[in-house]
Amino acid sequence: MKSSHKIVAFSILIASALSNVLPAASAVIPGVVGKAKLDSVTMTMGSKSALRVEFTGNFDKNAHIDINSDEWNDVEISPLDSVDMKTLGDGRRQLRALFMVQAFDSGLYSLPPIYLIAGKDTVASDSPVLKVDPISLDTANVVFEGEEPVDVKVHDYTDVVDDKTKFWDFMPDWITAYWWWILLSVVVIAAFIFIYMKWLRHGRIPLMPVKKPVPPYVLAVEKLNDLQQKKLWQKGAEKEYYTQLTDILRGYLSGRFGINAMEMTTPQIMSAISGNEEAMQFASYVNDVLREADFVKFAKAKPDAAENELAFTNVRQFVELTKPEEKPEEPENTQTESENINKENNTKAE
Amino acid sequence: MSTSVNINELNELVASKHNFADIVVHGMDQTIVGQKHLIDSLLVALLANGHVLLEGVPGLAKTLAIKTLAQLIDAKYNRIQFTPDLLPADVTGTMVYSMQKEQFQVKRGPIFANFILADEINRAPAKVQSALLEAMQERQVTIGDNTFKLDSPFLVMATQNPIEQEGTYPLPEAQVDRFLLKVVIGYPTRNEEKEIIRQNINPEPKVVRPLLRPENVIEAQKIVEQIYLDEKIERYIVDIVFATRFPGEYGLQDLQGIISFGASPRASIGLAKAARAYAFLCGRGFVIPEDVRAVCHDVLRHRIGLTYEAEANNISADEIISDILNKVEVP
Repeated sequence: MKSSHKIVAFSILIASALSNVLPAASAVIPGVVGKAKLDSVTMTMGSKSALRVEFTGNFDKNAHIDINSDEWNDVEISPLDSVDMKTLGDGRRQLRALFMVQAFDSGLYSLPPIYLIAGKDTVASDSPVLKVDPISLDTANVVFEGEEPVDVKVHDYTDVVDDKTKFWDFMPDWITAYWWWILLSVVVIAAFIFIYMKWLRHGRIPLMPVKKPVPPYVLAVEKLNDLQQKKLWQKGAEKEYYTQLTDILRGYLSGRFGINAMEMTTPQIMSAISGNEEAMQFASYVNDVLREADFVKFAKAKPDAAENELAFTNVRQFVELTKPEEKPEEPENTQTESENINKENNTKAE
Repeated sequence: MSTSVNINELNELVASKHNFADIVVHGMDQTIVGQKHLIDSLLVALLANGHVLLEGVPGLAKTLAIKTLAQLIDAKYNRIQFTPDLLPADVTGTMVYSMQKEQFQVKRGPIFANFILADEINRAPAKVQSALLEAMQERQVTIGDNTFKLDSPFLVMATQNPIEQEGTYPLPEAQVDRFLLKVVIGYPTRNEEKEIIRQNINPEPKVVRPLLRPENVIEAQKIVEQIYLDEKIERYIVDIVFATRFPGEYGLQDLQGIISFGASPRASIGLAKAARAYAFLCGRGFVIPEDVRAVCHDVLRHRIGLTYEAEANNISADEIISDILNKVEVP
């Protein structure tokens, strides 16, 4: 810092200190003193500083603070920010107010006073000094001729930055962090599946035995045998006998022909059967049983023994006649074995 | 095969009185072309001692149907046109001061008839609707201090137009529930339409002669009340009604979000009664699941509440009932 600058700064500080310490000479109301104090006596252009004003003495409670806007030319002052009045005793009061000041030109300013107006009397506060520093500018790229800038290098907007992201950047962190372990796990699982499939292909028993669905024919025959052994109609339970018999028949129609017979009435079942070529040939067996069963189930009918036997025979006959043809097992394993034998023989011969 | 005595007797009884249905159907076929479902529904309601709510656009022979039925049975028929300014007294009747006798006298309203056509019931305010529906339920009307029993048979056929909804008072759910059947009737086929034209341009309109007496209807109703309904059928009806309330329990999870409320116990009673009447029409003395299914849509369609989601997706009560019937196990 140059010596001239030091002198200026020192003089500002002295002036500021004196202005804060010396009592206001403009007091009109006897015994009322007004003090104004800046939080910061030095600031840069555009910054703000708090101006705290305090009036103490005997004044009326209706007294209020005012500013003369004509006096505030170089420095801008905000509207009253906060006011606080308290009673000190013996009729004395203290009034505090807070303003914000701001300047947009550098220089040394003696701020105008703040006024306390109590009825027809006015008291002015003291005037603090404010130094506003300019903002330092980069003039390295400016060419001057005398005091006027003749060439200013103005930079254009920068180009769009090329985003050099990679595929990995889109991956979750846990993948990029543990990719080696993931790869290893995939390889192990793939190897396990490959070995297991090969093991199965060689006719080994699967690790998890698959429950083979019971064919509808087998299921119906099993249930019919069970029903026969129960001897329901012989015990006088014809209704239960026909209910179970028709349930077996309807279950078989559902499994064998895909007819939802469990949710259908007799006419609906017959209508569905008439649309199925295979079942249609033996529809009379079903019709006889279902019609008779309707009488037993819903009309308290009591068929005789021969009719009961006939109903059972009709169902069994229908199941047997519509039994699906068994498909011959695929000779895949046999071929593989014979091929292996041939290969072994060839090897031995060589 | 031998059946227990009751069923045999019932079958014979039904067979002996079954011509009642044939006479009505034949008589109505003389004046009404097509609309078989409407005629069957009217008969079911008449035999089950219930009432019918009819939904269909104007000009589908709704009025003609009930008028012909009344003429065939030689019964009294009244038509009440429901309007916004109609009062309950206009339906049930009121007390009128007689200058000669110097006292109040009862003036009976149009409700005092065997067959009532309540045309466009949703055009009248709720108090008029409830006056009619109370009479339907209790089968009696109170005017002043006097209570009058309504004549038997008593059948109310109310109509509502599904298109015009402006200025109407839709029937509340509790009141719609009192109708045994809600029948939706559609347009006739091309051939039926041609036949209708021929019949109506004929200068000599067909005269309907009375073939039955109201007593015949009461006799038939008594037989219908005796028709055997097995416990298995009862369980089937309960399953259907419960499926409307708790569809999830019947594997109908899709319906849970589209049914706001299921059918009431009155629906179960209605299904049983209507199924019995249908069995009578089929000439049987006992009910089979087919009878329940035949009347199920008409009995349940006005008793199932649809959610906003269902209405937004254009899902009708009929579709829901069909889904239920296809899922509930038949005994």
